[in-house]
Amino acid sequence: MFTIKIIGVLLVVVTCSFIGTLKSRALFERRKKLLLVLDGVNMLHAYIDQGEFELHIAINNAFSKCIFLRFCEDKILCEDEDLKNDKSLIEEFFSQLGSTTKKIECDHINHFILKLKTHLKQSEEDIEQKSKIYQIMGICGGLTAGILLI
Amino acid sequence: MPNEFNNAIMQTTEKIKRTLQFIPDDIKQCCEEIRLREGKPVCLTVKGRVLFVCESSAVCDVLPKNPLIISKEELQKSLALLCKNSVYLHEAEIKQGFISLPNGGRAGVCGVFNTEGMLVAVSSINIRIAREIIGCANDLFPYASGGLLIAGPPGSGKTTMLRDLIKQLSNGECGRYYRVAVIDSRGEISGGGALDLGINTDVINSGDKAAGTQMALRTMFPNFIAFDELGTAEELESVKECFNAGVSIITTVHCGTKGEIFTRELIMKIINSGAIKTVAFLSQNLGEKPLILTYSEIKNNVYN
Repeated sequence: MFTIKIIGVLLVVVTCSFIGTLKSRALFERRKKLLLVLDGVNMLHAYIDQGEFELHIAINNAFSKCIFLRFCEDKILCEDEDLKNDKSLIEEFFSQLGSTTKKIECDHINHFILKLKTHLKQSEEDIEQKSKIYQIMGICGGLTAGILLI
Repeated sequence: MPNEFNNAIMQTTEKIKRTLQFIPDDIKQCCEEIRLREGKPVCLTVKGRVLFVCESSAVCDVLPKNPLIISKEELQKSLALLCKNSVYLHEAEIKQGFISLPNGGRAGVCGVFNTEGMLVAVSSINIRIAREIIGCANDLFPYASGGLLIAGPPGSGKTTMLRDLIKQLSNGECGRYYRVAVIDSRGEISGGGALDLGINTDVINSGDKAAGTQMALRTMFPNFIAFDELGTAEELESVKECFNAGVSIITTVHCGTKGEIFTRELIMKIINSGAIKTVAFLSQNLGEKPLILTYSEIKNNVYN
């Protein structure tokens, strides 16, 4: 009976720690994905500045690593749980592309890069502030629940 | 031809596409232009006549009660769609008032242009449907050697005839295979590679026709050099150089009436240079045979 109790408690502790780690990992994932978007946007800027490719080809090439972006008929959707805070920014950026001159397109991209960098900075602050907290909360929560169960 | 019409409307908004795809096939077959204007009804040019499109996809020659009206947003969206959502790629063309379409079509655009010459607000779009009429230049190829100028008013089929003539010369349909160099400044002759110009044709996509002609002359050693819309003194000079090099030129020129042939300075200059031996005048009536004017007839001004 005691052994079963111990196993149960361990299971609770491990599960809670795992959830905490997942939450913490999501912050790192967000940063990683935002960096991929930033790389893509910089590449897109270069493609548009070169003026050799149509927009859909330029986007496909520039964002080939961003598998979390879904290319629909005439819009691009960001369906990723890690980027839920950045979804509207990214989708709005793509919806405004392609209807104007090279100079204005480049200005639009530069403006987006600035906004994206703010989000990136925010995500880095989140990592610093929240990542450890989530992990500790997971372990502590698990231990508390375990003690209560005993 | 309905396919060409359907291809042309693919690059418009859903509403326009949905309405135009159901217009009668015989209209689609003869349609030369689709005109979209801000806040105005959609018009078609069919055999030179203006027809209005109703919301029900019916077509009539008087303004109907329920015409298909184009909003500003739809016009703006159509412009973006015509550019395949890549307006930045068509900046140079838009500054000149047109957008090259796939399959040799061309859309004319107008509206408000800024000081840099860029369109900032579109008010009208004219989608011209490119046609390939096989054999339409049958009457012209005997006159191609020695230089041929195809003259006619806008919409008379000059480019269509030029395209067919190039193809016939290149494919050996005139008795032997000729090397033809095409200077396609706006992609209208070759349709950006989509239209067949024959097996022995080299296409130079150069915005500067005079420079393109020089390039073709020096590098491709053609029997014929063809380009659309002769218009500048530089182009005239390059035509003269081709003549001196023994290469025949085939080109087109806008010309409202046959009388204009004798009064237009540019046309007379090119004829007097000897680089053009024949002028083919096309009337607005599509299908009508071209009026052939030989060098001596023009010099003697027999039609004036």
